[in-house]
Amino acid sequence: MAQHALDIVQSSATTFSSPSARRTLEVAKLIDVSRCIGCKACQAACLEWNDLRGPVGGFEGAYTNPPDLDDQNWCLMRFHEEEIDGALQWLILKDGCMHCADPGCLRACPAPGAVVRHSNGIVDFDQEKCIGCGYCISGCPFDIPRLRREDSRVYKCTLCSDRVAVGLAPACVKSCPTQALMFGSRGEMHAVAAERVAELRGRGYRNAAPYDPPGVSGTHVFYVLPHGDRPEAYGLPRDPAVSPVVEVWRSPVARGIGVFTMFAVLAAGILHYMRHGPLQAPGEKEENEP
Amino acid sequence: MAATAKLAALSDPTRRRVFELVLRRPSPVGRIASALPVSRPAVSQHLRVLLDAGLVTAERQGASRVYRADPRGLAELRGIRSGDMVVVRSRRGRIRLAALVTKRIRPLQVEGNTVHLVGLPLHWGFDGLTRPGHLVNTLTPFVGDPNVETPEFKAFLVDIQKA
Amino acid sequence: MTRERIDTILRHPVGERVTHWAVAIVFLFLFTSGLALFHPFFFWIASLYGSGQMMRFLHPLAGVLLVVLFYPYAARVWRDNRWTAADDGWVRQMWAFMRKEVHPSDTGKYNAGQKLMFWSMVPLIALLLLSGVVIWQPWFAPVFPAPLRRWAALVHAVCSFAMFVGIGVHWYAAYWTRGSIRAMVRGYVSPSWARFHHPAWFREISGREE
Repeated sequence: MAQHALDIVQSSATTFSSPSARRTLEVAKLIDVSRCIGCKACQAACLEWNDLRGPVGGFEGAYTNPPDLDDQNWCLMRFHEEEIDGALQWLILKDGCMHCADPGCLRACPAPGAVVRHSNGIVDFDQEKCIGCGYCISGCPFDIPRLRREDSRVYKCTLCSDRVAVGLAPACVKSCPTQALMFGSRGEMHAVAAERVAELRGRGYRNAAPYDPPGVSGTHVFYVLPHGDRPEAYGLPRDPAVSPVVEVWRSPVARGIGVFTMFAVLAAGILHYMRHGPLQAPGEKEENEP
Repeated sequence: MAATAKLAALSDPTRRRVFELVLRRPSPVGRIASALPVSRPAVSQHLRVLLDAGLVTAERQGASRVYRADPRGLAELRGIRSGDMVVVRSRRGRIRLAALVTKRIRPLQVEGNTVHLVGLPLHWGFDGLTRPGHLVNTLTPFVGDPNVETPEFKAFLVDIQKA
Repeated sequence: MTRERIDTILRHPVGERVTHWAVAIVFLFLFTSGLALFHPFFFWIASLYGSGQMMRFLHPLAGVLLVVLFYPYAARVWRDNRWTAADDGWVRQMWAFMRKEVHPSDTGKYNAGQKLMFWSMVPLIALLLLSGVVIWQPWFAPVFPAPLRRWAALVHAVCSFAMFVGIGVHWYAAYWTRGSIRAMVRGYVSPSWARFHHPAWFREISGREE
């Protein structure tokens, strides 16, 4: 799809950058946790829009259901009972892909074009190109991608890239009854987040803050957290970044040097042979060899 | 602890106030005494009675002892964790189901007795698209209000044990 | 004179030879498929093995096969690879040896270079197996926490690189030392070959045959 290629800013395992002649507006989804009532409409909407049907599970003794993200559940409400300042808080967080500006999944992926970042900020998987190695799962600082056993490909929230492409909001945003989920340009959503944080602080949530981690160069899904000083209480990593181990492991420079060295070893052998010739036992006849 | 012992322990109005303060917030003797027009030794004496009646527990914290109403919820007392299978029994029947343990529902203190709450959502039955399970209506009383013709299915006594 | 008349000393029995070449073929598959995952410059190799999916599926299975083939072989030959005083001497003179300026006269069945090769392959292959299991999707990787998987992936890449450097040297040394490849294919070497390249081994063999 010619238009599709023009829209891509970054592509996995691709040394040369894509054409990206078309620059679209950067979008973002804002999740205002203070307005979330944990109704799971977003979970249901995501399943509906993407035709996902996981197997019926069992009750595991928790509101968080299913217990984890998986290849058929790209959006999950997570419930945490936390003691904060001597009072019990029931914290509810919508978990899913953060659509990082510097995605760890894209960095780790060895299959060219299997993970792409669009100019609007959406990070998308192209399942056709996926080889099922799971490197993206290790690369992600938020542990989001999930491998589907049946086809050995990874899946995650697409920020409804198909809906966004035709000017609609993601299915989850459309379904949210309290407007805890909002969608718009990234600039707009940052402004709204700042307003919400100010209002929450005015109401007594002294530590309300946005969660838009700089360690991954910011994300296109970010939160307003009433207890912004302790993202861990919501199950979010405190200061996420692409792990330095992943940076070294998938460093293009390190790997380039590695490949060069391997060839250099062979070249050294050839040069040595050209200079010194074979090691031959005296008396052994030279056969028809170079 | 026998109900009479607990009621007797709360017969004294000052002692009742001591208990109410401890209920609201776990406290050492000093803090309770400063909130009441009674001496420290008097408060200590009241606390000893409440301790013997099983209404409060004491915990050593540094140099002082902190008194609190028994904080353990029913789940902890019965060794039930989230996800465990339990049997819930009422006069009318018993059902077997998985438990969810939450701090959001706290035990009530009613006339010196701790009354625990067990919530049973009516989400499943013997027939349905998801896995069938015991019908919660097995436990509910057949009590109705004839004035408004509304059945009272909501609140009833149960016992809950790990299955 | 045919080679059969000249090559009278058995250096590698048939079991060892078959194992060696089986290991070599499996290694070639592992190396090329690993290279495709290592750097996008080589990703085209995936199409040689059917598809990226098929290659990703076969790579760990081949790794297990390599381990199953290699370690029994290693167990058979480790005694001849034990380090001796002669090996210290060989290492000290290694560069001069490569320039053909010196030639040690106390080399055993395997020279120090070959022993170094052996003793690096033994731990490297084990590390590759262990790190490989940790990152093996979908069977084993999910039970391991992400930080461990990241380290395992790095270890796997570094060890593969080290292994290839060793194997590259091994390839060249086998080619450079005339008669080595024939020895590993046909099994036999001539007395003059043995006397020159592995004199202490030759003395031991002839002593036994007397």
